Amino acid sequence: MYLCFKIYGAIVPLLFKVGLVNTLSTHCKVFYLHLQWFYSGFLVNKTNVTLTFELKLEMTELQQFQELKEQVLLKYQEQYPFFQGNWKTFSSQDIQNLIALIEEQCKQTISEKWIYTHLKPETNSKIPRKDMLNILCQLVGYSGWDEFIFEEKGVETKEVEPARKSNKKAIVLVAIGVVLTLFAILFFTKKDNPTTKTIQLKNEFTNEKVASDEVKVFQVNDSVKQELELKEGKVQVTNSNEKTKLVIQSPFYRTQTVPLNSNGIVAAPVSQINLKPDDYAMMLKAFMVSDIKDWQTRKVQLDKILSDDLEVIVMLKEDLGAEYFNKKEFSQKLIVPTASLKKLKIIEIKNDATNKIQFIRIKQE
Amino acid sequence: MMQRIKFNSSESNKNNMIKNGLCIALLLCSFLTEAQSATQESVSEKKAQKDAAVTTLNQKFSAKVLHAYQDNSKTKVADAFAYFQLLTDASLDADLKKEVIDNIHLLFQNPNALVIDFTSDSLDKIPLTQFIQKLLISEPILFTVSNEAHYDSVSYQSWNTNYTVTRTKSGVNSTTNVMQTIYFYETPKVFGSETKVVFSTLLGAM
Repeated sequence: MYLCFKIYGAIVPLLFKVGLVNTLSTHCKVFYLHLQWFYSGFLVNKTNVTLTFELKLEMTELQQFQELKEQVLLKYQEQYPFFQGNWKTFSSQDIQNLIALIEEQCKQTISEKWIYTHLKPETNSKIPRKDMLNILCQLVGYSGWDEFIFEEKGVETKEVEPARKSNKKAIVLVAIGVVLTLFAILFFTKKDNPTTKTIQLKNEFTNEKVASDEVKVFQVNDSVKQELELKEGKVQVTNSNEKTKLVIQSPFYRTQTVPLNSNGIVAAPVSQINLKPDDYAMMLKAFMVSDIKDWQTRKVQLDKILSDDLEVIVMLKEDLGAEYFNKKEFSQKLIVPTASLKKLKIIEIKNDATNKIQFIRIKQE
Repeated sequence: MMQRIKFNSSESNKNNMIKNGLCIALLLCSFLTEAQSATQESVSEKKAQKDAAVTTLNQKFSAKVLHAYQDNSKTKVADAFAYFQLLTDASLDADLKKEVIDNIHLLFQNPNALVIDFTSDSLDKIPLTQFIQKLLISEPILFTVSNEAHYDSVSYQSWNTNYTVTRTKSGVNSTTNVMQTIYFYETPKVFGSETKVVFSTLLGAM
């Protein structure tokens, strides 16, 4: 049992100290709260786990400092009601205002740098100097840090008072502690389950689902690029870290790179990505399946959208060879379409500096 | 004395003529021998070159790759007959038919390649350009090209494709077995400002 305390007691403060407490999974955080409750059982029983009790004190002080920060913020809001933010959004003007408020009410001075170092961060790895804590405590209505802690402990002691009544409950707590510790070991040793998110890809202009065979989606983690399966215009993204990106490529849409956040959610928009169509490529796609009507319009438009340097490669079946067409040859095929044209599928299009189509890669179906 | 001298002189002339004749004959013989050997060398060189070229084509592509190109040539045959059919379509305007004729010329290696005259019942072979003119004034003809084809006579730059064409003219179907040469060789192709040497597949005579 003592070994379990040692393990968990070593991990949690360590994460607090290196500022990695936010990287813990939700399960771990829930477990941490359970453990706090568990520790409180020992606080009242006062067994031989002094070391663990000291760790609890250390954690409690950090929490109390967080509480103090919240009270300072409330005090500041009393004076400056228009401020509705938190420490993260606390501006340099707010800092100046706070310094002035402390000078006025406590006759003490706190530097701007100190506020940036100790109050602005969302989490703190250590408790500031006591004389500075005393100033903040005086600001929020206490004589000093000691009184502030005393008041906080008083609340905590009241909360754990019923536990003192029964040793039986302590045994139950110990059992729960063992189970929770085992869970904790599992959570710490096993990587968090990946979050899966379904993202719909749509044409930005028509708002229609993109054809699955016209778009390729890659998930890029650092330098590793993995193609994802696209079904009915939807792709399932399994995120692994904050650097994960989605790269969407298509001959008919502009290439897009979409970063994902750590929860596997697309930064914006959340579950849908709109792809911007390439007009010339879309026209070409329509021409490939058109009939002989409007051949004159088609001829004029082809001359407009195809570069004079156009190179078309038709890949033979199973990539066993290729056939090359220049602008004249390819245009003629489209001006007078035949049944064979409809069996060709565009897989790559490149445009020149003037946005005209300069390269087309086609596959025989 | 004078006579002797004369005699001597004519004798010596005779001898000289014989000698000269022998020399010329020898020279001619030697020239003939050299020429014969030169001709033999030239023939054997050409044969060797041709053999080398045939071998090179077969070695350039594996059977699978060559078959892929041969299979691809079926598309060109089908396109050609689709264009032939369009030329007999009275509903199409003349400008469009000019485009169709351009497309036919792009498919064939030579505008004067001999093709089967499907406008006539005799199915004579006529130059492509003449066939096109006959199609333009023909009654509507529908062509159906068989999916199945087989290939033979693979040479250093061509092969023969054997397929079947069904012609529907005036509601009457007739089927013709066609053997057509398909050319396949490297040729420079212009891509705007750039020229590249690429393999091209072109239709030849039927």
